Amino acid sequence: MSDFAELIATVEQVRAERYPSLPADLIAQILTVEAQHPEDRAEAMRVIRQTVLAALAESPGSAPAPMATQAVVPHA
Amino acid sequence: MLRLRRLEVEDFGPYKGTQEFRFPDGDGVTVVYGENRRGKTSLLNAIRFALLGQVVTRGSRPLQFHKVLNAVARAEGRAGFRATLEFEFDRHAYTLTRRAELRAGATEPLGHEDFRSTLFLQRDGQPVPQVEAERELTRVMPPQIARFFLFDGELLSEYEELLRDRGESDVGPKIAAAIEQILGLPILQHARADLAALAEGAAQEESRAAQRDKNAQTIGSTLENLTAMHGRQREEGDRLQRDMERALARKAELDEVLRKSTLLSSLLGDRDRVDREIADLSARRDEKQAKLQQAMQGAWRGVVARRIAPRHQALTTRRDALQAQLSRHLAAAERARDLHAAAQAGQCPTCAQSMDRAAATRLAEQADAANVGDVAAEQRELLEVQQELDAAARLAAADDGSRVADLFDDLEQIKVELHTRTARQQELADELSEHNESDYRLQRREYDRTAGEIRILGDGLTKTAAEVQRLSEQIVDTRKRLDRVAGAGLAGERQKRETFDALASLFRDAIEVYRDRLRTRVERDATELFLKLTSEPDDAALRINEQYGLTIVHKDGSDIPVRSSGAEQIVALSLMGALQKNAPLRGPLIADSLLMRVDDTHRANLVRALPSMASQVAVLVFEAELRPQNARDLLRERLLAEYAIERVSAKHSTLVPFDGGR
Repeated sequence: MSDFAELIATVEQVRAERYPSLPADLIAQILTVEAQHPEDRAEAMRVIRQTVLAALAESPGSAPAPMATQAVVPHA
Repeated sequence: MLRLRRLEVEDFGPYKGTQEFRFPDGDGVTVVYGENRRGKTSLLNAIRFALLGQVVTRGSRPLQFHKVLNAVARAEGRAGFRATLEFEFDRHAYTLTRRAELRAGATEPLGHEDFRSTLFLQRDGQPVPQVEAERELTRVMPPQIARFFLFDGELLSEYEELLRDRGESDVGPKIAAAIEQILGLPILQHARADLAALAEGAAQEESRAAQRDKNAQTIGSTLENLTAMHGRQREEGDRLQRDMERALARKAELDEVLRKSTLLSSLLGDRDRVDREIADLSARRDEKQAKLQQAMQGAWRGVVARRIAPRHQALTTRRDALQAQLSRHLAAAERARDLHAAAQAGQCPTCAQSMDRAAATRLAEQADAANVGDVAAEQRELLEVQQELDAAARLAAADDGSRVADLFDDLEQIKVELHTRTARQQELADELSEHNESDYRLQRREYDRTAGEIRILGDGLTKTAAEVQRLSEQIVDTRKRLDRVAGAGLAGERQKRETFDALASLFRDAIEVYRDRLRTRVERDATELFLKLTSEPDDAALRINEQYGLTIVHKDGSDIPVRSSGAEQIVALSLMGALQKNAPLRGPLIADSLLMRVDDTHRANLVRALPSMASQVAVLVFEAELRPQNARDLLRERLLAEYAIERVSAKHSTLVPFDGGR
């Protein structure tokens, strides 16, 4: 069965395997925001920005970069 | 989970007055029996109208509201209709009422624009503010995925199209996008897009921060420029992509409309051909008429020639006689001249011996006695006769009677053909008058224009993607340089940018993983359902492709091409069932014309499988499509209720509990 929990589980698996330095709860929060605002992208983006910046403020020393094998480039 | 409880309709389609349909409690199947034109599709449309504000006809085209009005109610002076739907969603009880009413000032409903639609939504007995009501309904039943819950033969046709599609048309991407919509992929896609935009904003912030660092000013400026250019190119790519999606969607719509207008297209083709034939025949008619007119100018000669034929014959006889007579007389005259000459010479003209006077006198007498006629008179008469004969010959030569007759025959034949074509032209005009020809031509032109636009957009997207890639590489290089020279002051901005970048990358990867898993699950669930439906023991599985198209797999592992219409429908239904099972939204399955094209075995399998396709299923069938006794035997305790749509008149149906045959 594919539901929201499974959606989160899938993203969490990718996070754990490829982006372990990114906080798991941040991913769940982003997905929740998107699920709550499917028709209001501007609001979704505003809330996500706040959420991510708050997470960074809580742990300023962390470096949420991907694993070395993942090259992060500007998003096409 | 969406569960329907009760539907009440008023003056909707064939349902005159107020009529209600109660969905039974519990999981299982409700069967609604109704012969053609009684109102099965209207029942589906009433639910669609309540939830989405739409009523559709064949080809999923919007049906104008004035055509939804019950005709008897209209005759009684009512000019509106209503659907009220009671349902449960996320543990809340909703009552949804949507009405279509005549606009103020409109006295006679002639088109869609003469109506206004109003919505009233209650949640747990409390009114939902109007501004929230549509949003709430979009959450309950997103229009993009409603087709998976309220579907008819049209949707199955689209899926069957998907099975046949080999990438030549837009059907594959269109359906695939709709499927991914129902499977919840947009949540990930939105997250990825939003994070990419935030990453770009963070990159600009970082560039600006770098410009404040004296060691990194130049690189920061370069980075900002590159980032801005990258952003513009990406926005341009997004714009082109949106335009492309809009153009593809429009092309697909037009394609559908034009395909449905095959009859009109054929009529127009016939009409154009007949028009050309008529033009050609008219030109030939005019040409023949001109030739005939010309020929007719000398036709009197032919008449005279025929009238003087006996005279011509007599003249010919006379001429021949005169010529013979003249020849004789000329010969006689020559002989007489010879005799006279011999008599005067006293010498035989034959043996050259001298003759005496008596003999010479006899010769002279013979010469005088010769009948030499009146050669001069005969010659005059012959000349006159010949002149008269020449005149008659000229008249005979000018006798165009047969040519005129040929021309006349040709002209008559052309006129007959012209008459036949003109009659056909009128028939076609009558048939075409029932269709909107100008709309068709406009749509045809728009289709061609849209196809051209898609080609241009495709080129633009390719170029933009290459430019975005080039700028991305430059940005990566520039950032590396910045990292080497920048001070600690940039660490915070860099961390923000890297975090948003990493998050966007994470969601990009997650989309691929989730998509692959969805395909795997859809393939597995479609296979499970398919094996319940198929009657072919050698069928082993279904295999899914990138566009969610399914192929039947033989037990030896080879693909089995889907050829029969029934097999296509079974495969399409298997996909539908799998999508239902994997959708984040759970809801009822209301299906019209589901069983029409399958044979008895598949029909039985399909009916048995219905309860596994959704917890709440309602099928709208006619009795020959699903015999009531078969429904009861196949569904047993999963058959929750049976309704019948009964005819009151051609324009009035009523919905009643069905107990036929019990």
